Amino acid sequence: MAYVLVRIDDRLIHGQVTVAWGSDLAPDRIILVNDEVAGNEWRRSLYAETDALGASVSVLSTDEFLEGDRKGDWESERAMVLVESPRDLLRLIEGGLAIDSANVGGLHFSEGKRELLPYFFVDADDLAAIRAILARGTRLEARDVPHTNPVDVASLIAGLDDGAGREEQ
Amino acid sequence: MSEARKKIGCVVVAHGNVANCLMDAVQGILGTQSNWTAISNTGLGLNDLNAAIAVAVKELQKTCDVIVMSDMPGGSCHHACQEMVGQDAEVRAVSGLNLMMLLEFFVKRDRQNVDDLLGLIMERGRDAIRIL
Repeated sequence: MAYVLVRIDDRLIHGQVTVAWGSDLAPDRIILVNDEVAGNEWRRSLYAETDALGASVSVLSTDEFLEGDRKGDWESERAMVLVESPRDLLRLIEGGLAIDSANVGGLHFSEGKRELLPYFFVDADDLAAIRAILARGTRLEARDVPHTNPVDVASLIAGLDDGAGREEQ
Repeated sequence: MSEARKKIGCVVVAHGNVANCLMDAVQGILGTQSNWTAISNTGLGLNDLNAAIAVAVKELQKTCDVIVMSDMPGGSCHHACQEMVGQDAEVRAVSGLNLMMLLEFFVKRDRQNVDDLLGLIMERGRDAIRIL
């Protein structure tokens, strides 16, 4: 089924998602797919009760999401899907999620990651997952907020070695 | 004046670095925005603050209706905004500015007239204040 946006964002549900994309796309529902949050009762309720400015919020495990997706649970809604990492998105695609493209909205700095854009840092595992997603025919575009120029991720990573270490001279 | 709806701009007036910091936060969330000015009262007496606001308002008024927004009711920024409204009744003013009010302003300003927008800003700002 079609979603208004499928986004990788390690801040999960936050201002850019609820205010910026929410105003732009007017989603009825934001679906956070994250096994760790979904498996922690406190965090799950914290995110499920997010004031998403008019959108309902669902916090689901990978399996719960894939089952709902298969059954078309959100077919009549304008639903936005959020995952934390390229690895998580790859898991959804391998599990049957059929999408033409996805948005990379935020993968922030942590030790050992290299910068591709100010809001987009990757390590070797991210790169491997991104390559696998692209290889399955899903286009990835980097864009943190609406009304800015999207950056094609395939071009962005074209010259990178998978070590995610230092650049070659 | 005959009308397509005019754009709406804002002048954010606050203590210390608050105005610039709020606008940094807004643009971090919404992306780069146009037609706004941030003013700090730091180092400015009331006359200079009034003048700085008046200059910013005049500049924006070339293309926009203008709302001035201050942080603290009863502070110099607030008084200067009131002064501005006294000089030019076309200018609207709010105080008690918080981040949700500003976000609401920038998200909704292209789709509202000034009065409706003021109502939305106030509602969103009040609703943002909660005990967790």
